[in-house]
Amino acid sequence: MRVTVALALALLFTVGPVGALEPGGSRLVLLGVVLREPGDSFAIIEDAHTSRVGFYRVGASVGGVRVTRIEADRVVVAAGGTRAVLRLGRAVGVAPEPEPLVPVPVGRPAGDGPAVRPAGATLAAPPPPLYGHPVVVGQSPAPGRREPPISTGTGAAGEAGSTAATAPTGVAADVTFTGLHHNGSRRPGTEFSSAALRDLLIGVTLQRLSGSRQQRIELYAPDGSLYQRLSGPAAATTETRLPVGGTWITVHGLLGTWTVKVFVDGQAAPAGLGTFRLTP
Amino acid sequence: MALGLSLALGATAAEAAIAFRSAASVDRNGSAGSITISRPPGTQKGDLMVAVIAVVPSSVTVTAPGGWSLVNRQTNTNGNSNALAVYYKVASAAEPASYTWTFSPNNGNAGGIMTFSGVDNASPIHAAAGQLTTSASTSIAAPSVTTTVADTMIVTGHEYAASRRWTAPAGMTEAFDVASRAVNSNGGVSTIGSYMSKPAVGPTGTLVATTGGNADTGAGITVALKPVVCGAAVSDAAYFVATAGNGTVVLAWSGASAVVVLRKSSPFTGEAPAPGVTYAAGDPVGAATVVYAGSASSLTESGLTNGTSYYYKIFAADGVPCYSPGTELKTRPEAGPRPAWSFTMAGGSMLNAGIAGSGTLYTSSNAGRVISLGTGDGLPSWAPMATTAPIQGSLTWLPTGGRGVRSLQSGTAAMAAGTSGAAQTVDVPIAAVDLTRAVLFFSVRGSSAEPGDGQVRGQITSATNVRFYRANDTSFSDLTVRWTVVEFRGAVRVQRGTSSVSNGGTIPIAAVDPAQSFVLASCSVASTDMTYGSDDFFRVRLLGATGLEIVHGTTAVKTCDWQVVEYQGAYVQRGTGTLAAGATTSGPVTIAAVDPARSLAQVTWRTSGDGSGPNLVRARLTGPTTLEVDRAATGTTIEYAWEVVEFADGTRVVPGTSSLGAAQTSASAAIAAVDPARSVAVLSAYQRAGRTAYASDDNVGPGWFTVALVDATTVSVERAIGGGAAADAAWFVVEFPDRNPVVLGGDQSGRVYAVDVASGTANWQALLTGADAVQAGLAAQLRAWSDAGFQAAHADDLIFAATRNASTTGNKVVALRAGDGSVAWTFNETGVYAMDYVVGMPWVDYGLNRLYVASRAGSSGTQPSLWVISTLDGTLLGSFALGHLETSPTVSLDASTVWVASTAGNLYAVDTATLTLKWSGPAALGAAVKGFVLEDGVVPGRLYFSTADGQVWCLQDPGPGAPPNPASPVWKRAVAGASTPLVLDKVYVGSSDGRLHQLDRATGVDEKQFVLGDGTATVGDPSTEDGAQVFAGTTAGTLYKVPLPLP
Repeated sequence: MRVTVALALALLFTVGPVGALEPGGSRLVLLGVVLREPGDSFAIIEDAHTSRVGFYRVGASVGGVRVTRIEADRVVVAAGGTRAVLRLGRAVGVAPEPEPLVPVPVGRPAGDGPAVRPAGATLAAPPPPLYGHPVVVGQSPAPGRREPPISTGTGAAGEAGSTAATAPTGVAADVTFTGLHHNGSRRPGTEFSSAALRDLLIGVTLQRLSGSRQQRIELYAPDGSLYQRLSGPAAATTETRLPVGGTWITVHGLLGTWTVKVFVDGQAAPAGLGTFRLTP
Repeated sequence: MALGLSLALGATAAEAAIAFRSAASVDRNGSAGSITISRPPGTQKGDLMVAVIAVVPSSVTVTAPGGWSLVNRQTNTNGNSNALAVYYKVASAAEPASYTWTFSPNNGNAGGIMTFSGVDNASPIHAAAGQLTTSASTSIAAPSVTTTVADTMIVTGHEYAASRRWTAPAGMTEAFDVASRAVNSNGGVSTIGSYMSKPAVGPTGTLVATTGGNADTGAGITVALKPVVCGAAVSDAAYFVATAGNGTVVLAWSGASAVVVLRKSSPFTGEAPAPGVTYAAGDPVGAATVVYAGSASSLTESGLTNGTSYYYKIFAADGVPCYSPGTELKTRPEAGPRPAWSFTMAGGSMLNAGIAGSGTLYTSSNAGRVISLGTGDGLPSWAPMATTAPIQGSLTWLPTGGRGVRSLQSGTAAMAAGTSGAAQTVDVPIAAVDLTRAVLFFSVRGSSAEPGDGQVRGQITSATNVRFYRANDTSFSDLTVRWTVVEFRGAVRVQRGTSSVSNGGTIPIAAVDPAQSFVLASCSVASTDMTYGSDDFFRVRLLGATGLEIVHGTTAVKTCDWQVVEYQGAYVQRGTGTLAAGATTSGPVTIAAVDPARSLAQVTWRTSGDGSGPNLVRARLTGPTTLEVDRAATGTTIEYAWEVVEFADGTRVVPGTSSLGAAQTSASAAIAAVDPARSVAVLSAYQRAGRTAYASDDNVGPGWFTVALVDATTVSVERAIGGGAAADAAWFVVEFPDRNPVVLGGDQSGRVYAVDVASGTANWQALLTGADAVQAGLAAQLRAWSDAGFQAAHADDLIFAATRNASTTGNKVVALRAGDGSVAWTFNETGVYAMDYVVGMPWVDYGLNRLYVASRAGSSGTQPSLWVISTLDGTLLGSFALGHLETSPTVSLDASTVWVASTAGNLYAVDTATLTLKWSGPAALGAAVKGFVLEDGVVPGRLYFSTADGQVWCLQDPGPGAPPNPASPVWKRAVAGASTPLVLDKVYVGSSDGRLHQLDRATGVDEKQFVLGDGTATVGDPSTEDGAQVFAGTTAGTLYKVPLPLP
């Protein structure tokens, strides 16, 4: 299956028209789109009101609006006869379209194949990080070379993955996940069984990192709540070990899609984010 | 699915560059007497507005509106004369909608305003220059300016005496382009405003703007705007909390030097203070409002709308000011009575409702803090204490902690009169003390005018000895020393030494926290020193974390004994001052406010000359914010150093002054009763001096005292000689705390903390050897409640901490002594047993001195998982392979049974007498038990618990034999994501539906549901203080107090 991916970001632009669609003040942020075969594309949308990140196909509802169309750089939503456009990398426009396109930091031109780690691939074994403490696991990638930012697992949407271009002066973060299981196995992916998962390694690769900086990882539970912050020195590549088994995560059944945001130094907006899903 | 996003970031807030925001201008204003230009849209507080005004002829007077400053004016008298002026203004929070420049009679005017963000408000103009074009031309030049700082913004204004449209200089962007008349016209004037970023330093080069015709004379002005330059990234406030009540929110944060707090009624979407901009309450920042700007550490917001969620974000500021990324929380005032209050800590979930009693609740947050709240008002009792990693297991409360006085010894040492050619040393044997936690206090009285005779130093020289010393003299006089040695249990660290000192130099010490440390010192002088003078009194003070200064007034070398006492839970202020030769008092020395009932003062000094009265001073707290150092006679200049020690750990201080008449040598003072077993009396000056007017000779005797606590209510001061002079002694009786209760917890970094409940400081913390993390709550065995066997084996209470290691075989259980965190024993220290991780709190069986520990069963699932360990010595008494156990074991009220459940949903019962399984097989529940099994307090064997499939159970243990039938429980009720139940008269469970559920205890009927907050967060395990309320925390980091019954 050929998958075209256009993921970008999202500096928490608010969605004015959507807010207008929902007087309650819902604000939606288009984090990315994954273009697949017709009818199988989906959009990654964050409801900034709740910090929930979800995956929506055409017809799905989010924040009181319905997704009606998914394109490479935008998603059209509708409610009550009014349409609005969520755009990657900028505020939405209001129907009728078109609205001038703006440069979007897209990882690959449309039509390129996805940056996908083969299923079942394993990461080079890093030193075991202490719980909650990032450890450096490698050197900065060679100039011009990008490591695959994510790996595939048994996720519902399958083989998706992407990198995004970075602004000339900015720092960008790629986020990966590796499950360390009770049975001793170590498996990269983005969907994990909470019954089998002992710890989760959160890998962060920072692009264009220079100087001495601090890195902060924020983990958002499926209900949108900030579960925990993990801070430490930034490095080109770090792994942070999150205890899962027997923690509040399993004891309180915090199952569903988790969002991980990576911040560098004083950045108010995340340098990167990733999601993973915990199942029973 | 796999997903990873890279987000491209521009400059950080700390690296903010100058940015053009917008412009406004007026075209075809003709020759009006004024020009009114709108405020450029979006202009915010701290933005810099740059106005460009052009007029013809050159003689026109231009008057700027209020607040605008002229940068440069170019007056061109050549050809059709004209003039160009550039002004600037830093935008305030309340700018008018427009600005009007007025002119003398003119033939034309035009102008515009450009707004820029990120400009240094204090010094916005880095460089500026103007240039005339004196011959008619269509190319008008603005001169080059040279920048010496990076990332400037270059702004130009160009003008000429014709009405025409312009082309901006190469590389620049046009902001506006206006003319006084319709273009194209030979008359009037036109002007263009342009800008460009200049990242590098250096000259800009000449910047030429052009028009398409109508050549004429003109002018250009170049301005370089200075950017805000931030230093190192500013760190956020270490914590940020809010307590919401009826229409109110009380915010508190760690004591950053300066902060800005913003409020919104919706989530923050990027609103943040701009670097370089100073804010005041009420200022808008985007859609947010500044509710506080300053250096306080709390804020009370009132008049808020109940039922509305408010979002607060706090930003720490440095001196520029540049701001931290900010920490946000959401809180929601409610009218009550349910919830009575809610408490929110930013930074993570808070799913333990905590343990409550005596009006205080203790809990922990994923933000890595231990929290103490008043159960009445939900306000923090002390600043949340930082831990290295989150504590998720339940906290444990112990009535007796590690703080307080372990032993107190006191006595009188006589240094007898006589003739000797050698130094005099008096050794006083004491009961053994821990040198790292023992402090010597002493005072001296005598009658001697010779320093070599009267100056005594004292020190704890070994665990069992105190030594007092004076130099040799040909003739000793009688001296009396009153001494007290206080040995603390913990939270006190003492370092001591003996050093040679003179009039300068620093004595290195091991690093201490100066804000929690004070110094006690005493000195002896040379045997040949027969006259008091500038080399005999010593000024003592800490110089930072690693230096101690003891100095007198000459280069002569003396010897001093010193103790540096680092006291957790004390706040120490210090300073220096001078009493001029003719002054008797310092007057009020301002200090940060202290509670005099918890504070003592001490002073040391060096002097410029001899004499008794002029060299004897005292120090007193004359109010919460004032200290006074005074003496009764003048004549020498005294340089003093003072310390004020305020205790926050329950220590009580009784201050007083005893005044002795001219012939009086002793006095007693009545005080409110203290416990002599943990109290010491100290004098404020050198631990021995008071003030006196005695001036006959150098004899310090009239002003040197001993002080002692005679009994619980009496303080006695004595001097060896009156000398015909009155004297005043300032003293403090310090009653150190008894063993305060502590709360204990283990964090995910493998550390265990014992937190003093009075001060919120750690009595101790222990990093467990071989531990990756501690997840389970800590169990404890109190010695006082234990049998003779335990009491014989252990002199202290024991704390049991189990590890949650990455290893599936190398986990341990460590027994720590409650007093100091030292290890009593370690189970599986060398990995003899294949022990997987432990996440359930172990259970102590006092009757059998056993510890029941449940663990997982290794990667195979077949390792032992229920461990029975002797609390006496950590030996293994038995083990069971019951599959993966992630619950706490529960011992029945009759101590006959241990219940424990596996992740596979099997409930087991173990007979404690035989250490065999009580049932013929497990009760197969079908899903893992969460937390622990709770036995009914009335019906033996009636068990309540929740399972991971969202069921709340009430199941009856049938006794030995067949297990209970899960298909026929007493009742079972579905509650989404049910927490571990709290069983009162009703059964309360938290739920993933954001509600607290109330189930009938007999039937399990889900009678009531109470929504916590906006109902979006998962509710954790509930707790109570006395059954009249429920406390429950959430994934959103908010803890609620809900009085019962539920509505």
